[in-house]
Amino acid sequence: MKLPDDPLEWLSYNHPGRELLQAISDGKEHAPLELRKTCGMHPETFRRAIHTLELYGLLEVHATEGERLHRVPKGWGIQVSMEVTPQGRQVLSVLQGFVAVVRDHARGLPKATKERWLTA
Amino acid sequence: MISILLLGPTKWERAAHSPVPSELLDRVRRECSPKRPEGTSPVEIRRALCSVMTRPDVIATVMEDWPSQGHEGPSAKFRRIEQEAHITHYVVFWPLGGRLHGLIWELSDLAHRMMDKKLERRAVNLFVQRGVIDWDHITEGYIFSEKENRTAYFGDLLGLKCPILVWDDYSDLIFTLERRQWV
Repeated sequence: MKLPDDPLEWLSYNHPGRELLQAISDGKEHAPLELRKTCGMHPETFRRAIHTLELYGLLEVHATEGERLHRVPKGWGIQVSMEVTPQGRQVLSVLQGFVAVVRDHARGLPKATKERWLTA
Repeated sequence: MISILLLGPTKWERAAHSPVPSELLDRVRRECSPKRPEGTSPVEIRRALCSVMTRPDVIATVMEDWPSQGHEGPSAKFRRIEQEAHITHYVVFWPLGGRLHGLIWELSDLAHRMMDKKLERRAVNLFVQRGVIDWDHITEGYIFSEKENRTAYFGDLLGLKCPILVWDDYSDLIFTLERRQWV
């Protein structure tokens, strides 16, 4: 499926993406396994959400501190960490502001709007 | 102003590289001089990707577009381009079927400068096609599927925490390059 130009649009309907961005919003480096378990995601859902966040430049993947390429059964591997980018932080801030507005006006809003924005 | 040097292979190691979408092929044709034979060599793809990345505040270039001067060797040429083009960022482009062996000196130079704290890790971005590197669900890390064609210095850059983006196909790559904020 073609991604929309605006990452906010994608995040509006992609709950895993929103959840992951929220989970890394502390600005620290996160190990994928820890992150995936925190969010309770299927490995493939996790991989796809990470990939799309990376394509939008909202999340950065790099080697974990002190990690080097090392032998693994399938060849050479490296452990990685993930962190929010400055752009990701900005987008998240707008998103959180929007969610707060939706929450403030929840009583008068359609059920579908509340479900989309307040149940992630 | 952001000035990017797009490094990558010059030739395909194998004929079976991944298909290049028509959008990028059109750019390759537009970017190549009429004298240059048309095709989709890695250099031509890099040249087209430079046009994807270039916008009012970003300019991207490939080394091959800078003619050598006098008896200048490749390392001196690399340093001269950095100076003359005021390079601020480097992208290492690694598609399936491409080999990085021609970049040993350049990659080791970047790694050394990062180790000497003369270059920030985010100034070097690694854009690798899925199939060269893959996500391993068991170790939850990246694994090199491409057994050959890599240089040890690429591993050094990885270990120095340069951002790595593993792209699926050229549409993916174009999508991200058009939007990327270079920090």
